[in-house]
Amino acid sequence: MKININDISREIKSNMILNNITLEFESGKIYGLCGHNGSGKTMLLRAIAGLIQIDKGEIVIDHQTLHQDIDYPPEMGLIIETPTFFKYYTGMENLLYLAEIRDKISKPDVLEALKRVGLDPNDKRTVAKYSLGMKQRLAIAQAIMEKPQLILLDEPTNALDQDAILQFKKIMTVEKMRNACIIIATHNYQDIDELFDEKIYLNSGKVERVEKND
Amino acid sequence: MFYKFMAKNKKILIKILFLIAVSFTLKYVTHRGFIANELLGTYQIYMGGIFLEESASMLQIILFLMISALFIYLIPYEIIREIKENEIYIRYRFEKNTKLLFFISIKNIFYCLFYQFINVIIVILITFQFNPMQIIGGEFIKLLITSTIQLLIILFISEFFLYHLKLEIGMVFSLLLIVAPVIISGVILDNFPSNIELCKFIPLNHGNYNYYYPSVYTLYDIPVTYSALPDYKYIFSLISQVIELIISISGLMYAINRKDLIGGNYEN
Repeated sequence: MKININDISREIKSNMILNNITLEFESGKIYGLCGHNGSGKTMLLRAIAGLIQIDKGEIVIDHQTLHQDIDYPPEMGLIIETPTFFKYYTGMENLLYLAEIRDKISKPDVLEALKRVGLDPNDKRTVAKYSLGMKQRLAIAQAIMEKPQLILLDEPTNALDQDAILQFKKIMTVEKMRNACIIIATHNYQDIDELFDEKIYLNSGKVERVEKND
Repeated sequence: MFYKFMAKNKKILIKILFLIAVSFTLKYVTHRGFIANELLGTYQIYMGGIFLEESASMLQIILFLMISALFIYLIPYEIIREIKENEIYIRYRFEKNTKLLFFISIKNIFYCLFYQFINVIIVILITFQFNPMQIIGGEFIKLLITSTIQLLIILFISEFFLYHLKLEIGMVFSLLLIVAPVIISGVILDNFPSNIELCKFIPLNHGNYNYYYPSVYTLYDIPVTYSALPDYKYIFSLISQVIELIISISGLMYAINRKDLIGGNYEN
């Protein structure tokens, strides 16, 4: 999978939240979108995910232009900042509901995804009774369960304890080995710094600099 | 496939049964003074919404509003709430917005068919129970088709409001749109009885065709009519309904396509 972001801009209420951004992402790598609050990393992630329209430029995913040829990137796994689920379903029921939409995976795959993030598939508690950390784990499970080619994660380590962060790093390494293209937006990049092949620093909606990890 | 769908959505199907039970009970209580001697008449009394003559009665309008509110709350509200509650994770899995529209449309069609199926069973049973049945098959099917399309139109329009606006506001707008033709009919009936034909041209008012022919019975001293449509009027109504259906589906597609609403905020 190859993603080309060509000179995209987006203005909201007279603020340039994305300002002439040009980037390229490819499979088998983990990219970090770094920056403080309001730097535009979440908006860039949303733009790649097809969740917001852009005013200028284009996003091309495997020769298909977003919002023209496709509405959302194909085979995408996504976490947005605040995980939302059906409150009155268990974690397992939530994932089964989502899995049914694409109908690519079966119950054992969902079970495996839950186990990988450290959640008990037999837990009968509804999501309403989950802690924030458990909801975040569930969000990670929904993003990876269908083995997508593109994984977009917005602040995935929010509310995770050190053990869970370690587990998350292992999962991301496995996904990278599987040749997925992973883009992670975070302001706590110190925790997961060693994961990144490239770090893209954003400030006021612009790319400030790009650092490659050796 | 139908069985699989029913089994998966048994909660909402139980809600439909509850809705029909409440609606039927309310209709039965308020119409207990009359039982029609033919299937079409019985269908119109119990399942056909509100009669033209009843639109001048505040009690009947409130009753109609209650049943409509229950219908919207239990079916389209439930469908859209489920999607909105987990919107991003659901939507990106569809990959194309048209697929989400298709998913909602399929649900609407299944629920409509189920709703009408139960209605028809009840009407047939009640007609057998109280009267020797006089079936006018063709006319009954005609009415069944128009009332099914009417249900679909209501579903799509309310889903447009519910998706586009906040759920509660969407519900109020949906109810206003459903009750508006009835109130307009009442106003025409009260103030311009000689122009009663105008009621046929009110949009979203093609589910009840009782006023096309002279009355045959009286309820609360109000003449209540029921009869089948002549073919040309039926086709006219059908064309109007198809246009309304296309507009309502386009509205829902427009609401789904508005990506700037997804996720809600832009703080970061």
